[in-house]
Amino acid sequence: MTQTQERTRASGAPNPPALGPLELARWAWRQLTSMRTALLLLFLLALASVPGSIIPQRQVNPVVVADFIRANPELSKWYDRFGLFDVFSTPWFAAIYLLLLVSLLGCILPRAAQHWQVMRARPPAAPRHLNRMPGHRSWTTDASPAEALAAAKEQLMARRYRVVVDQPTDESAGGSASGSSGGASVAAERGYLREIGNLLFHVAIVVVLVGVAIGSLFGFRGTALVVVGNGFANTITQYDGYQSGALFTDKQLPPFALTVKKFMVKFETQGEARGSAREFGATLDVTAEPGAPVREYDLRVNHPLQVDGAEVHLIGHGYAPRFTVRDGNGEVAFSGPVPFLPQDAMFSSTGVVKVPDARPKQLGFQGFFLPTAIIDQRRGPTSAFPDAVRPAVFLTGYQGDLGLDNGAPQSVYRLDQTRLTQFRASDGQPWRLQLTPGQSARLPDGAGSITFDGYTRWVNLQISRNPGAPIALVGAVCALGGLLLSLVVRRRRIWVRVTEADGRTVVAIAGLDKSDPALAPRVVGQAERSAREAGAERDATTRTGETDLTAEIDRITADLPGSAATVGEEHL
Amino acid sequence: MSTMLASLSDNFVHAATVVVALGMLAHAGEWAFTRERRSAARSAARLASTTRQTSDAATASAAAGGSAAADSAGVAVLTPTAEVAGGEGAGERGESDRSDRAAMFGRIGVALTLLATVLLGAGVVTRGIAADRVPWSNLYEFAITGSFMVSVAYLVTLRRLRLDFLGLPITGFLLVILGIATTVLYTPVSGLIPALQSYWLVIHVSAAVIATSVFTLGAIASLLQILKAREERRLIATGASPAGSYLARLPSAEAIDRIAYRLNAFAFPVWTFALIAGAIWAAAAWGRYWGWDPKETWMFITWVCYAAYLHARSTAGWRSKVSGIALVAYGALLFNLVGVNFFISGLHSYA
Repeated sequence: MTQTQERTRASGAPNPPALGPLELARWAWRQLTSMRTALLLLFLLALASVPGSIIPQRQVNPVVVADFIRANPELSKWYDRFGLFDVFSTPWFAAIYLLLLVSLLGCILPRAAQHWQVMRARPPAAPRHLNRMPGHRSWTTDASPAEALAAAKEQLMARRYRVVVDQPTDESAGGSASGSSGGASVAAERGYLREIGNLLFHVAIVVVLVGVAIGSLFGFRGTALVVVGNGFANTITQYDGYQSGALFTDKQLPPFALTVKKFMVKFETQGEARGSAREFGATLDVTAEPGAPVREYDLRVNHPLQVDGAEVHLIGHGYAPRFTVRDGNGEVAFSGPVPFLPQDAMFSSTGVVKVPDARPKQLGFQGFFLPTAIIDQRRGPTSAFPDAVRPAVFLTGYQGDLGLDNGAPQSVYRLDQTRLTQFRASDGQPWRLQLTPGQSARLPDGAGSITFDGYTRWVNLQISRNPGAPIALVGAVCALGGLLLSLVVRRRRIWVRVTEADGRTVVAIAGLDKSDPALAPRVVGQAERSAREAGAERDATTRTGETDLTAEIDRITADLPGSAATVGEEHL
Repeated sequence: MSTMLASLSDNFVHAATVVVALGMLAHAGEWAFTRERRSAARSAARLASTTRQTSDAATASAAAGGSAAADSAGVAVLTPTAEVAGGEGAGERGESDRSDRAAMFGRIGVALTLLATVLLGAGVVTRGIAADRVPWSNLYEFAITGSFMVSVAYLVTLRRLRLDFLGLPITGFLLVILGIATTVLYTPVSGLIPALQSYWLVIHVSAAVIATSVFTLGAIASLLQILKAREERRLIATGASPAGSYLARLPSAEAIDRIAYRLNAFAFPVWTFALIAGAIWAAAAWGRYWGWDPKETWMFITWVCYAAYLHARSTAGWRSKVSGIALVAYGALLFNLVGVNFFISGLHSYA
């Protein structure tokens, strides 16, 4: 392929003749499928992945991206223009791997056809001059030529070579006096699996990509925050975040339901890793479909639930303080747990309580839940440990219109303060409140009261289905198998020629290792000769491929008639 | 019990660091004696060349050197490639004395490396027992287990690949890594976060440690290959005789390239396996097998770069660049190990 390329370039150099569209296409195809292009595309792929690891990615962590955009609005505009927040789904990234894929197929398919031919063809006949091959031995024996030939054939077949015997034709029989040609010969070849492994590896890479594509077209993934004691039914409305492939419709969601019965967490209490989670898990009641029997499942990290073709993972947890709010009329306007979101490793959590049923005015609260509350001199109230050792809430309150009635969607973790007024203490400062479990407080202006009843925990579940994953896994395993074959198997050719001279049988054996292009026989160049003179004595044993071949030839030789006495002595 | 074992582990690691340092000194001594001998040989050759054509002298002295090597049989055991250009007649006894001494220092270096490996292995094992889990869940443990694997890989392939010329750079490398590990990276024994509590920790990380160790040997070989190839080109360009430097003692650039290839070609499938095992684990722990987490991204970049290395090696016109590509790939691997842990936060940020 490279040769044709050079020719095209050479002939086109002085006065390029107008290329027809067909020639142009062929030229472009040859360029694309050359190894040089594939290498450049590989480097481009590596290079293009780098910004994806340094610049925050929406796909990985949308919250960090939002923070980054707030902090660097100007830079972010440019980043967004080049899709640098979504590197792995940008057209330019896709262009690189699709070109690589085409280049790979354009290289692999012709090679597969070629190898098919090679496998059906017989091993090439012995070359005229065996003594020009890298590994070579020759000796004489009393055994008859037919016996020597049969022994060689048997030995090579025992070593799983594919063997062909060539009888001398009249033309070559009379030939050379040196004994380098003429006579019957055995041609043998082994290691066809090497190229098969190589092809398998590349095809398997394509299979992996197909698996990835199927997963993103037919899969879905969503997250749901479920307070302990509550249930989750697998419908789209129950998800907090949800994304699905272009060919997946919401109706295909498997109709399972689950209830989070219990949640347990243990934290490290000592040492530098103090506060790290050591163990957490939830006990679920799972119903695979409406009417099906309930089964209990112990959901932990590394121990996902498989149900009805979907997987449920436990990906996070947090606290939901429980409140009871009475309005100005003395009625209970709200009662229950409210999930607060953890902000740091010690689970200092923030959240809001919305009380739309409060009369005469709606009420809203905003503040912190601290599982182990301490007052830090510099940062104010904060949590010192992630477990609920000394829980407390710190709140401020609002009254007015929560803005829930105009139909616009609103985050449950944020108050829309446009039509709310903050409660003020008598000194005019914003009204603040600190409660421990069981404590209540009256709101200013007779607006009602709030009670901190205690806390419940919540779990964050990820529900997903990826039908492409098994395909990608099979592809990956095949790729590994192919890779091992292509690196371990050695492709070798061995020839044995038997001639007669002075009434004795002359046996010559030679071989060629085709595994590594660097091992191909070649004229020793000026550079290498000088290098050797320069003191870098080329130790034969460091040419490992050649040594292996020589060793193999020696082993075969040792099993052939008449060789025992002369191995290694009678080199031509 | 476990705190006693933990401090025992620390002591083993410290002892190993000291022994590696001694091993490096021994290899430095080996090199120094070879160099002395070589400068003596060079002056002898210069004397000879006053009466003869230079090229004749070079050939003759090479032959003489060869026979000198055969005489001092001890040399052949550990430094078979050491004998290149010997002196001519004059001072032959002194030279064989020195080369004996060089070989002895080489043997001491290897013996000390072996001792350091045993100590390090004891440190790794006691650490694992103290923590009651596999000892590679943070960067300190990865560093000591990785150093142990590097030295094991070196000692195992020492004879087979004739890696004795790597003695000095390997011991130097181990000393640097162990020094950093015991001072900067040191972390007391502690438990595991839930995401790490899986048998995949054993499978995925051990494959990554093995691949990283062998890639390390490959990268050192590739670096030496680049230096040696440059030296060879310089010698050809200037027509100078080989200087008595460390480089002159190395096998030819071509032979080093072959060694680097064998190491990298061994490590690449192991790395591929680590990548696949990591993806399977990620599917169980995080609910997706691939999510472009920074660690995953850099593992992918490293994989692509080593794939490029293997391809470049069988592409005409690229063979002279392969060592450079191998170093770029190793750079990506190192960045993944160190840079991603310290500068970028992601799901792997627990090390």
